[in-house]
Amino acid sequence: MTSIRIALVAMLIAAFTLVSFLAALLGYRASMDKAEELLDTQLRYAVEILRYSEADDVLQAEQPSSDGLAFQVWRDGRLLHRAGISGEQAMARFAPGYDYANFDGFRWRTLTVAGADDTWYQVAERADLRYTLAERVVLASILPLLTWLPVAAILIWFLVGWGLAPLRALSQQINRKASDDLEPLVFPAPPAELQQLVHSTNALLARLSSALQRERDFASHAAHELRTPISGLKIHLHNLSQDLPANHPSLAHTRADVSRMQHLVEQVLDLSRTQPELMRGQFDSVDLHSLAERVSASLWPVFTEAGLSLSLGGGSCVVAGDEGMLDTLLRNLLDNARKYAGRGSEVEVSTGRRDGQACLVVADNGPGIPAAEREQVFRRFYRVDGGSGAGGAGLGLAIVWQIAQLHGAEVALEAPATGSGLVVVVRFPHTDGPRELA
Amino acid sequence: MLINSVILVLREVLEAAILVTALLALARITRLGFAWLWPAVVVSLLGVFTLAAVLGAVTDMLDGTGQEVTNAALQFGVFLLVCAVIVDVREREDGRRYSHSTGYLMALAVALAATREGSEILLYVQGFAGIDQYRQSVLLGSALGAGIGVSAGTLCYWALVSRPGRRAFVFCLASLCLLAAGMVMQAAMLLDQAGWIVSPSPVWDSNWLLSEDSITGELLNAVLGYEATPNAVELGLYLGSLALVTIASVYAARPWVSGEKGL
Repeated sequence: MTSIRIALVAMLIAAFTLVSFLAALLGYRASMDKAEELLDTQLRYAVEILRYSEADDVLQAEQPSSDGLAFQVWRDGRLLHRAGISGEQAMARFAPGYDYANFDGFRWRTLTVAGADDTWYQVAERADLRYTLAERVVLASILPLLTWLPVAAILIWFLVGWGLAPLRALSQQINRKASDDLEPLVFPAPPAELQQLVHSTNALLARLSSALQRERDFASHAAHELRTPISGLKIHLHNLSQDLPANHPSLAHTRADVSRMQHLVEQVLDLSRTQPELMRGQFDSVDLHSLAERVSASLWPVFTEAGLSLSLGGGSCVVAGDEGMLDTLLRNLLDNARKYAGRGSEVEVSTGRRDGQACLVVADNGPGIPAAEREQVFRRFYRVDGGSGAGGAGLGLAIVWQIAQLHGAEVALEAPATGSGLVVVVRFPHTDGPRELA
Repeated sequence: MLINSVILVLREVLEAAILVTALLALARITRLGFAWLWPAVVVSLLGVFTLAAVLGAVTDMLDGTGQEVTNAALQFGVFLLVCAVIVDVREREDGRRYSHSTGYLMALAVALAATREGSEILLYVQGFAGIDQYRQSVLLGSALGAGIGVSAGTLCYWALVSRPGRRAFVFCLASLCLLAAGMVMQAAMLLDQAGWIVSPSPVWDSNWLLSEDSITGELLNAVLGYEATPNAVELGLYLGSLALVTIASVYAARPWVSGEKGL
């Protein structure tokens, strides 16, 4: 993942280094040019002194040498005076002006000046020595640029971090938002670069909020509008059954179809009502065992009629949740077990703790679900083998998964330790229950 | 002395920096990652110190042309590795643009280039830093040259990777083509110096336009292999290598063709 901060810091340090180093080089060249001018002026002063000394006749033929400096005085092609040079050859051409020449194993800066009576004054200074001092002075001014570079880098790091603070604050605010919090972002006076982002995000949140409100309204209206005609159908069916023979095939089919339609409508409405985006319920303490006791008791006659046994195990186990939704969750799990376990099967509901987590377990010894299909059965309208023999619409486990999500719980489908069957385990995040499940 | 140090170090660092930059950008664009960089750094350091240590003996080989021939061999090696990297980043059936060998090829290319450039810098700095009079200007000049080279490389990297994906890929390949052909040109010049290439008269002389000895000329020589007076053999090698690496790039830049099994 690319970090904006690292990219910005790297680019800024590189740009700063490039520009400042190039500027330092230009400064170095300009300073050295200026130093050369000054040193050339000194060389000219030296020639003037030489001329006056020669005119006053204070010079000897061979002067003591001065370190890094040399001079010669020529007249009519004869060397009159010299210093700092071993040979008797001319240091430079007999042409007025500055030049460079090589002699005595060094490179020299020379100045030749013509005097009266065909007299030539030549002064030379060793090139390597004459720049030493000047270069040291200039380098001393460049050195801090290098030594202060780490300080500049640290400063850039913090400044970029400071500049990116509004972006960080915005992302933290979005991160902190709960999944159902569609309130607009509060970002007073955002920087110009973030203004559009904040505005667009708030507009999106507003549209989302409005769409969810419409869906919530639809769920509650549809519940009433769909249930009413089904209730009417059932009443009319009951009235019709008075006029028809009890074993009339059309009557039996119509009853089964109406019943299936009622179940389907209830499940679709459950699915709609329990969508995490639509839920704004407050969680209370719910004892899973009491809930399981109540639901098992109410479904026991249906199980008995279907030829299945239903038992309850475990102990008190309290979770934070919505009792109505947890009721729906357990009913769907038991409904599933009743439909798919088959006549003669045993279904057991148990509550308790596993590894500190509150668990609700529904186990049966029916045919179970193949391992390859266990992930898919939570999809809406998915039915094992695609069949409809058991009369389900394929929504039960989708509702269970959705309600579990709302409670921060996980649903796992497992095979029993021995024999065939299916064990559905709903693990809740926290529990105060005292008992550990086996 | 400072300017000389800056130019010498800059021309070596810049050449390596542009190569590393183009390969890093290519690794990022193809989603190869940068894991290959660490072995490249280790091998580069080993190469630099080893070559610097034996350079005296190497120089005496082949009638005193050992250094030129070794450097030319390293340049040719980098060229071949860059060609191999380019061919290896062609698109596969699953959309990948790298194989398990891409990282090794990149690491080796960087190591060879760094060995050549780094050993020259090391010898230069070691040679002059021992003389009191020059120590400060050589060290400072080397630091300035290295700073400018690395900074230019960093900015080039971000300039490359901030292009849209397809364009960035093409830019990377184009940079590598010019850089690789420039290395062949430099290798040819080294062989010319060593007397391994029979030098016919120059095909042209562009010193009037850009002198080889100017700062710009030296930097262009380092990065693109600029030569003001190329002879026919150098020119032929340059154009041949440029054609080869360009063909490899065109092949690599094509989208995957169904039924193709690769090279």
